[in-house]
Amino acid sequence: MTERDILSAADSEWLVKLLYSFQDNDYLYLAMEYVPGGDLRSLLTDFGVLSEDHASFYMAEMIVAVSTLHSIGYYHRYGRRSTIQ
Amino acid sequence: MIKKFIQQWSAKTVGFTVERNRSIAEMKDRHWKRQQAREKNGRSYSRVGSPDYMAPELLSDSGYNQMVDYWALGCILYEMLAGVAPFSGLTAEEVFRNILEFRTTLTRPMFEEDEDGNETTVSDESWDLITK
Repeated sequence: MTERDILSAADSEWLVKLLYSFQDNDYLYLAMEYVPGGDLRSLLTDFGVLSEDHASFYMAEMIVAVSTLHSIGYYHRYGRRSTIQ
Repeated sequence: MIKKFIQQWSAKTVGFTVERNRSIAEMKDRHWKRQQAREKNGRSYSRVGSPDYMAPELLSDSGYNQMVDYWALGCILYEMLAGVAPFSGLTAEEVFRNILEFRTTLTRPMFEEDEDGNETTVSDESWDLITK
């Protein structure tokens, strides 16, 4: 599956790490790094608006993550609020 | 079987959804079909996926490249600073319309609050691309 291929190819501080994957007849299982801390959506729900310093920190993370994906030939295509942290 | 997996997976997944570019037409079709189905049922469709960050070139058939990701990041930055998504609307159609008419619907907060130089240039590139 594409997701598995990408995650195993990508090695970045800012992308969730894929630890291993396996499958049975019906499902593919992806074992990933556990990233506590919730997602951006709940952060925005809690805070409403972020300060510019705060926001630029997250932007920097996301830009690094996205450019890593681009460098191995994938497009993220459209973001989700649920990107980590 | 694979399709079944994808459906279940995408219903549950949070985090990075990465698709190869060829599947965009399929995705868009599916989205519209789902939406039509919802309208037929007379149900609310305010919680459709997340079209908020889709770049205009994804909505047309003119093709696109990595810049769609920077468009999405621009939208996210806007939302972080303004508290609402830049093209938000009550229905997905309204969101799509706002996105397609971004020149008039994208309002000032972006420029007043955005002091991140990188981000602004990326957005400009994205806009250049769209006007091609």
